[in-house]
Amino acid sequence: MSLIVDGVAKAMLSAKQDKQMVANFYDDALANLDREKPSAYVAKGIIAIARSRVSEEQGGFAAANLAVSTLNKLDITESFSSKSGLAPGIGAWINQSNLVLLAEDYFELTETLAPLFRDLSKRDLQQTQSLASALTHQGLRSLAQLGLAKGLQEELQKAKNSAGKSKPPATEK
Amino acid sequence: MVYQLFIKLLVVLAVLLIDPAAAAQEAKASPTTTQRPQSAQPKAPARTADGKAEKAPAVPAISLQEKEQIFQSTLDSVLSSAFQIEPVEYGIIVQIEGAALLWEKDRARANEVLANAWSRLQELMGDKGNSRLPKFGEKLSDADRARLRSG
Repeated sequence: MSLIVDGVAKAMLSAKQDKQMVANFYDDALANLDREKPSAYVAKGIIAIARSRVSEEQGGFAAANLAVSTLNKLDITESFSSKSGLAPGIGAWINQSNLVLLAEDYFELTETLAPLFRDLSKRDLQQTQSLASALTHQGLRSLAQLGLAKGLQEELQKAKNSAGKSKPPATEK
Repeated sequence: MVYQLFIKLLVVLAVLLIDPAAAAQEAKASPTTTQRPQSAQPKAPARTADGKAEKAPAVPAISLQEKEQIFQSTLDSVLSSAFQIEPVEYGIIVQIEGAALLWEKDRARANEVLANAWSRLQELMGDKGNSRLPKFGEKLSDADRARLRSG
């Protein structure tokens, strides 16, 4: 559902619709997700919307906050490999190029959480730090912190590159 | 999932082994569309009733040095506790991602972390009771192949 919401919202934006209307649309989608029973799917949906809202003043953090509280309600103790519906060894040999069929892999929590925190860290580092440390699952918390570190690394690299560019060429004597 | 982890590990290794300078050059060559021009940043601050400019929202500016320190301490603390993470798969992913971040600064340590992730992955593959699976680097035997085909 979040994919559809996101697609529609992006279409609205590209059709030069009022930004407030798009924000309200996202808010409604988040409110619906908030009413759902917490699950990995719901969390992934909220993360998808949060990533689309990172550029907003507070919308990104509000959605990320909701994602963290949903993730904290999940029980992530079961091993991944025990969840596969395929016989052992078969999964690696099956190639599905359709993202709809691969929705679970495509939106694997581990793949989406770090980029969200990377983007958030560029907006407000301290708020992102406290949000990351609010995750109770150590694995997810570590991934969020790595996402934050990735954002910092990118910013440092950018600063380094621009400093290198602005350096005046050495004058010959 | 274990295979996905294995593939992820291989992909990270492949990416890390590519010359980072080439990647930087590529990034320089392709203009970023997401980057906003300076002029698009928030405009003039709002003014109070008496005409004075209001204070900017309280997002304290952090120096590059502080950012560097935060980056290093975050990475160190995450990597030092990665071995405690359960389920183990999460721990392995954290190690792989952490090693990718560490690569430019400290390749020796990044290699160490990757080697550790690799051995944990091998352990995990053994632990899952996958006696049906071949060992790393070994080809499937005909018997295994026939068994997989029959489901």
